[in-house]
Amino acid sequence: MVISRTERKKTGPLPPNFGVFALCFFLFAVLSLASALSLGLGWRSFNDFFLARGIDPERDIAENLLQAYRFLEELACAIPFAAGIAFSLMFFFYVINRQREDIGIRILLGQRPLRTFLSLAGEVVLAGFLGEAAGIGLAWPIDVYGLGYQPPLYYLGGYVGLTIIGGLASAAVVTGSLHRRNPYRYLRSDL
Amino acid sequence: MSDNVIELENIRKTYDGARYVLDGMSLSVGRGEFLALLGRSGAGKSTTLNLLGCLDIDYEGGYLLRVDGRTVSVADNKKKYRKSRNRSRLFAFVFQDGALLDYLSVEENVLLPLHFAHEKEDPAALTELLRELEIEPLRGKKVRDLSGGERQRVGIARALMQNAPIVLADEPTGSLDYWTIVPVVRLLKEAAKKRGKTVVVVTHNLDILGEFDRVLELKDGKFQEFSK
Repeated sequence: MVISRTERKKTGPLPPNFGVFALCFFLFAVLSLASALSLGLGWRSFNDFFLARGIDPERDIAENLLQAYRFLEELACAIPFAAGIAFSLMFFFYVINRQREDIGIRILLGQRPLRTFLSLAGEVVLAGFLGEAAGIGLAWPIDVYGLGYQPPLYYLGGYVGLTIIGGLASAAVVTGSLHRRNPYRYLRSDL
Repeated sequence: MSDNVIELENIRKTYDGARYVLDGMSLSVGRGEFLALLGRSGAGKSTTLNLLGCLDIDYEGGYLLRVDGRTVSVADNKKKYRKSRNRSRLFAFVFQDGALLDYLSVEENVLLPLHFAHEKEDPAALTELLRELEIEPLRGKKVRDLSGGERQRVGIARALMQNAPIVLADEPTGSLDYWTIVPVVRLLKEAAKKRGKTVVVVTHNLDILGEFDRVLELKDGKFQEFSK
C-alpha cells in the first residue's frame, strides 16, 4: 500500500535516522553528566583524598605521577568538549535527516551534484557551528569555573576544524550516495 | 523507422537474485501516447518506472529511446543516463503527492527544473500552462498552503514545464480524493497532448482508465493488454 507523505508525517514510523539522532543525544547527555560529575564531585574528591592525608599532589607526588595527574586533569577538561562534538553531530544528523526529501526531489529535477553538495554543506556546517556554540557554552564554564582551568586555545581550533571537516564530509557522503543511488526511494515509503 | 519513443526488450530484474520481478518484460510506448501501467502491489510497476526513468540501472535487457530524431541505447549507456543532468533532459516526473518544496511558491516550484538546467523560462508559456491547470491565481502562494488537488496540479505543471519529451507519473492520483482524481488526470492528459509529450502513468485506480490511449497490466513479470 502506498502511504502519502502527509499520512506518513501523521502516523508513520520515526524517520530512519532517528536511531543515530538518539544515539548522539544519548552520548551528549552521558558525556555532559560524566563531565559534571567528574569535575564537580569526583575531581574535588580526588584532590581531597590526597589533601586529607597531608599530601599536596602538586608538591609531594613524584614527577611521573604528577604528569599522569595533569594528563587526567586535561582529559577531564576535554570531556565537555567531547560532549559539544556529540552535540554538533546531533545537529548534523538532524539537518541531513530533515533535508533528505528535499535533496531527493532536487536530484530528480536535475540538480547537479556540486550544487546539491554546496547547498547541503552550507546548512550542515552552519548547524555544526550552532552545536559547537552550545558545546562551548557548556564546556567553557565547567572548565573555567568548575575546575578553575583555562582550556588551551588549540581545543577551540580543533573543535572548529572538526566541525568544518565533519560537515563537509557528511554532506559529501549524503550527496554522493543520493546521486549514485535511486533518490526516488526517499520519496516513497513502499520501495 | 518506428515511431515508438520508448522500447524495452526482454527486461529482467531481480532484487534478491532469486525471484525476478520483471522476467522477459517488453514494452513499447508511442510518441505522444498517454499510457497507463496497472498491476497489483509488488508486481513491478514502480520498478518499471524506475528503469524507464534511469533511476535504476541494475537490470538485463535492451532499452532504446528515440528522441530528437536520434535513437540511443540507454541499456548500453546506463551510467551516462543515470546522471541527473542527462536524465532531466529526457524525463520529467510526477509523484504521488507532488513532491514539492513546501517553502517555495507555486511559480518557483514549477520553474525549478529550468533553474537547475540553467534554462530561461518563457513567461507567456508559464502563464498559459498555469491557466490550463487552473492554478494561475495561486502562482505566488507557498505550496504548503495548497490542497492535495492543487499540489498535484503544481507537480504536473512542473513536469510539463520541464523541457523533457517523456513524463513519468507514479500514482499521481494516490493522495487525491474521489472527486479530484478524474479532473486532475484529464488536465494532465490535455496539457501533455497539447505539448506533444509522451506520458506513462503507473496507477492502480480503475476509475481513470477511460482517460488513457492504452492500458497495460503487469502480470508475472510481463505486460499484457488489460481487460476488466
